Amino acid sequence: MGQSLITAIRDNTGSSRSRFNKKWAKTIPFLLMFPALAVMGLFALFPVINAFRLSLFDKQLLNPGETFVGLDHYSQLFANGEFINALKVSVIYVAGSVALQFLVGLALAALLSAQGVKGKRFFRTAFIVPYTLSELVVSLIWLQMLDTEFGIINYFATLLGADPQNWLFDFALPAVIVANVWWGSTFSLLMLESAMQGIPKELYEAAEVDGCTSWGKFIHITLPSIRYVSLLNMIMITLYTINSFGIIFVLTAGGPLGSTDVIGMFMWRSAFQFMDLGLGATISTLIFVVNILITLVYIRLFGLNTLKEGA
Amino acid sequence: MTNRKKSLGIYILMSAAAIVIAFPVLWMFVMSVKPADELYRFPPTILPDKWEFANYTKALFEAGIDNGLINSLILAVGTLALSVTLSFPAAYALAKYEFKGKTILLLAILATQLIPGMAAIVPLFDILQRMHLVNTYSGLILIYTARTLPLNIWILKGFFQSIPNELIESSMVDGSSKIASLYRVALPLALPGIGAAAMFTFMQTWIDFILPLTMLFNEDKFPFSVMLYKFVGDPIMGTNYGVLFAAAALGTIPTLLIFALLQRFFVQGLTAGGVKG
Repeated sequence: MGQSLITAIRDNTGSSRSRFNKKWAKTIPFLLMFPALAVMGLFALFPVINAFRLSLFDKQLLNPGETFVGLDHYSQLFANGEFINALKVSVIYVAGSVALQFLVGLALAALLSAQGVKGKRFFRTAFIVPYTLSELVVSLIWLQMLDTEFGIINYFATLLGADPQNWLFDFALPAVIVANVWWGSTFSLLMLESAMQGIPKELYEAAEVDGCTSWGKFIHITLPSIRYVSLLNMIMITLYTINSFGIIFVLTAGGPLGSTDVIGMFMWRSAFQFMDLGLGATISTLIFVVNILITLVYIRLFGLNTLKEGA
Repeated sequence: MTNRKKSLGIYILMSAAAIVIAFPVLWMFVMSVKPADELYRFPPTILPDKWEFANYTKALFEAGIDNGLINSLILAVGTLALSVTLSFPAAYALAKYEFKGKTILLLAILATQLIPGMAAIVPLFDILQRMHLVNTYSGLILIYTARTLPLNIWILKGFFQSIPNELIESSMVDGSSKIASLYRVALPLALPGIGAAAMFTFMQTWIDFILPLTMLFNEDKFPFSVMLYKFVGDPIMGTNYGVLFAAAALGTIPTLLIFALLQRFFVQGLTAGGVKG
């Protein structure tokens, strides 16, 4: 077998000697892809199935035993006030983060794409820097900056004549949204800027001849030209934000009083703090379903090709 | 004249944005050289009265962040090696062979990018536990590899497609096979793509936090991010923010450097794969 595979590979280029070898040659691309597909299958795709399977069982974190409980976890969840709270908090957190990340990214991309501006490379570098930081380092920096007694943000607040605030207590949700937006806007900036670079210059020149203002050009040329990339970008940051909770984990751990308890945080706590792997998997499954629904709505609205082109 | 005014306005806006965006990072470096007592002063000093560079040596050798940095390096380089090795032949197959279901497969690979990493943490823990890979680097490296493969395949496929078929075919005239030409012709030409893929894989693995926090139990295995997180609550380390931020800065310098040196790849890769986090 091994020998015939080698001959098949050698003969792949031209006139194959036998039908057997030709068949082998057809399998070459699959052999080349197999290791990568196997790893993705087991550690990226299978977890989705495994989440659903686990959600039907009562399973503790470090205990090998599991008992079948059917859909109990699902009914248990929707009767749980903390879970309902997490859903509400997530909606605000995701909507706020996505809207702000997109708008900040769009504004920065528009500035960088402005005609005749020099030093773009310098400014772009400054804008991208947050993205090179670990989620944990981002959180630590903001933890210190937002500190009630010694934080620099309260210092700036007093300079502006405002009273120092206990940001992570009284404004916990806006504070974590700001930290998240600071970290994440880079992604929108880069995607939108590269989309803007693809707009033909002639469009702007023609508009200029017609006496169009900069704002008019932005509204009538730039925005319509980047609408598909914009939507793809929004989908991606939505999916990402629904699942991410690293910054909240460090800054507030979901508190105070559940005001920043997003769904991911709730899931992590259920599975790894309260050791209820089955319940945690149920929340995973629900998050997967929401993600798939969002993606399907997007594909339905804009077609598969957009997804291909946009990526 | 109006054009001049307009671009002046743009410069002012861009400078303001750059200052606001870069400030927290600069502030981390400022805090990393402040003595402990100066960090508990209000109003805070914008530049330290006394520059305490000893914070860095303390972070490295007394707090043991050197161990964390080495662990992060093992994880990142391990993932990079495995992910690039596996994505290379797969990308070549997708770029240079025709077969049934190729479009579906490409879309499926792209779709795995949309599977949220964090939500998978619970079922992944169960999978690792069954494979006896909890609390091991192998388990983490396999997960990171699965996460970085789609983007790497996508980037490399683009590079292979840009290599003309004639070039590959001409190298096969002397009897060598398509596979051999993969290494003789395609590999050197795809090096920029491999560089971009490698850089991305490294960065994504280096900056991760929740996954190793969940999957690793032994302190001596923690990457720098998890180690730092544990410091925050530590009665001795947690109170000396100067050392804490020196450690954070040490963990940030590698990714900052990579980014500064390879910015072009970074932007290309990020926009090509639309990857995040």
